[in-house]
Amino acid sequence: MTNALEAAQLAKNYNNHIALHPLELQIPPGQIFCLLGQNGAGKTTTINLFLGFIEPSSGQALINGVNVAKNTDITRQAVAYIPEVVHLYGNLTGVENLDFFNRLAGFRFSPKELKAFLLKAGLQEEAHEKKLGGYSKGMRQKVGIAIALAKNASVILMDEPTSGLDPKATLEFNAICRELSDQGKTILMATHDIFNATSLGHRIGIMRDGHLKHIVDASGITAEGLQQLYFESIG
Amino acid sequence: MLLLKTIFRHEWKQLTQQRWMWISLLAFVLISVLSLVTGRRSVQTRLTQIDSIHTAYNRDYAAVLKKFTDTSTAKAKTDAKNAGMPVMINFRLPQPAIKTPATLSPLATGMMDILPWYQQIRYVKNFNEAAVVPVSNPLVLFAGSFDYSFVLIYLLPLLIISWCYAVFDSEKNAGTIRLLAVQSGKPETIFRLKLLFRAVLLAAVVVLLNIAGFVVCSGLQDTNWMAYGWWMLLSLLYLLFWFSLCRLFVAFRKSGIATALYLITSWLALLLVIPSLCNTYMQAKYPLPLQDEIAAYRRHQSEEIWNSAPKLLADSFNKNNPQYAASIDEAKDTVKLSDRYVAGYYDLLERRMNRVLQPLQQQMQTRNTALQKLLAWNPASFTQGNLAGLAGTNLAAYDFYSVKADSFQKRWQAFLYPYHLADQLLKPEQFNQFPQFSYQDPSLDVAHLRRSIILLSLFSLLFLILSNRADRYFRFI
Repeated sequence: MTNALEAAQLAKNYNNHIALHPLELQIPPGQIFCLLGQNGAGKTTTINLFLGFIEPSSGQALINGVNVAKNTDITRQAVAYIPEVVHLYGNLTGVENLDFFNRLAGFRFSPKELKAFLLKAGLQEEAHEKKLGGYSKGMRQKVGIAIALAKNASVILMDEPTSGLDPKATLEFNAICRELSDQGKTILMATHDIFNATSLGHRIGIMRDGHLKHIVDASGITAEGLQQLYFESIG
Repeated sequence: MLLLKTIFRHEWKQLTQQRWMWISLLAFVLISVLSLVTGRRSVQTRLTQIDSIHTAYNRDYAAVLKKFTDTSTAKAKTDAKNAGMPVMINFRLPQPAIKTPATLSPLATGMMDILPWYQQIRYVKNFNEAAVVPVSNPLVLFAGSFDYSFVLIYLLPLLIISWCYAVFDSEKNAGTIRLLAVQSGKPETIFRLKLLFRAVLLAAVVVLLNIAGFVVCSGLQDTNWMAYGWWMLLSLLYLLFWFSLCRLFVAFRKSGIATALYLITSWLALLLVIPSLCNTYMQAKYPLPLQDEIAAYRRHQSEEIWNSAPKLLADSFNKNNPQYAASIDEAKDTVKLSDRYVAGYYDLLERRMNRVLQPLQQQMQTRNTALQKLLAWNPASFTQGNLAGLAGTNLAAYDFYSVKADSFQKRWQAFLYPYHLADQLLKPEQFNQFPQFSYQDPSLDVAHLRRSIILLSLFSLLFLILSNRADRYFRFI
């Protein structure tokens, strides 16, 4: 079976700085893979390479077996993205933002369907028609999730999506991620949250200085064990 | 197509919520309307003046004819006897030579308020020094006064810049670029479409304003569809040129401030600095004598010729004007203040003045041609020149009028002199044979217009190609 996400000797250099050493990684469909690491460890670089925002210095980033660098337009159709802070248009409502980004992806939904996506993402109904400028970070994040849900992408890339969310919002977010995983969606999530990674991820990778130092099965490790391994890995 | 519709819909929604964009558009439209009103008023005033000149001439014409038959008093009898004297006709009925405004003159008043548009033609030439003084201020030379063409050439680019400079930066600041890229897969296309939306909207505004201008023009003069078509094409291509330039600078992915600075610098360079530099260079290369020098020369020559011996002047006149030989009368012609003495005076003065003025005018012509050639690569300058050309208010149109007026003066002289020099009187029925001055602007310089259209298109195409290259070179993220 083709891996949903695959890094084949994927590397990235910026002048003399190596942001990502040759990376080997395979993530099968339906799996949630959490990437842990300090700032500058290479997590965001890995995600940017899969998104096609930057070109690899060597190796390949593959989505559903398709080389991202050479087929960015195609691979982006299969990808949804939730950044650390979902920036949308503050002068438009949640529904209008969702509608616009869906149309960009080539989908058209009725207002009722759009609201259903927002509800599914956990955004309370009374906020749907309010301007995004008045939303909290968590509410914006939910609109971001709704955009990902509506796109029905097979791969979802998340860059520290729970950073700054309150515990309840994090729990709600995790529940949605699990549901997506159950539907066969693949999630690659960069995070600093060790406990969240163990509770949500199927596998966890620890990165340091552009190297993927460890990959562990979440079912075989506790949060404390992962924490210990993490600190050992980052020195 | 779906993406285009999505972006246009989104941009419209954004536009409805961005007050400053509406305010700037409204200000532009108001200024344009004001310029149309101003242009209309200028041409309306000119047409009223022309009408008044014709009315006054017709009144004088009727009065002179009446003198032939009025024998009610002793004085009237004397007047009736002299009514057909060419010198009296020349004095009482100077022939009007008028440059009538062209159809599009209300849209580009150009030199209308600066250069002479009306001359009273008599059988001797009146040297009007003002007419030979070159216009040297480059802004006046090409932009003329405040009119709709000024709004299009100078203010439209500023509006375009204000609408476009932040197209990339605003998305960057909003942090939406990544999501735009992931959702659409084509962020470059999104920015192109965002600019296209603005271009289409402003083009629609320009088309509407142009149509309003044409309606204003049609209300005053005959409709000229050809001129309307060229005007529309030029103004839209000029808009395209500025949008392409904006597109190029936006493709560099600089901050909004930096992009705005680049664009304002381009505006200053194309509209002010380059024309001024070219003009300064031309003034240094082709210096022209001052007006005072010409006036002094005229005074000096006038005095010298006036003091010449009558026979000398009469002989000079006869030599240079053999067509009037039949009326030579040696005894009469050699008397001071005789008709032939005075004719000889004016003839010689004109020849001597022409000896000075013709090279000067040639030099001015050379300078203007050289300046035009130099500015022929500046889209702002040549578009401005073309708009004024279409409106018949550019330098070339006034030069053309001046030549026509000179030629008419010769015709008037040729009509009256045979009677004047032979001491013959004109009969009332001969009044119908007066030569008439009829002015028509030179026909459209289609080759020049075509060249401008091609150049504007090529510049725009070049900027668009470069911006597509820049899209590949400068990444969004």
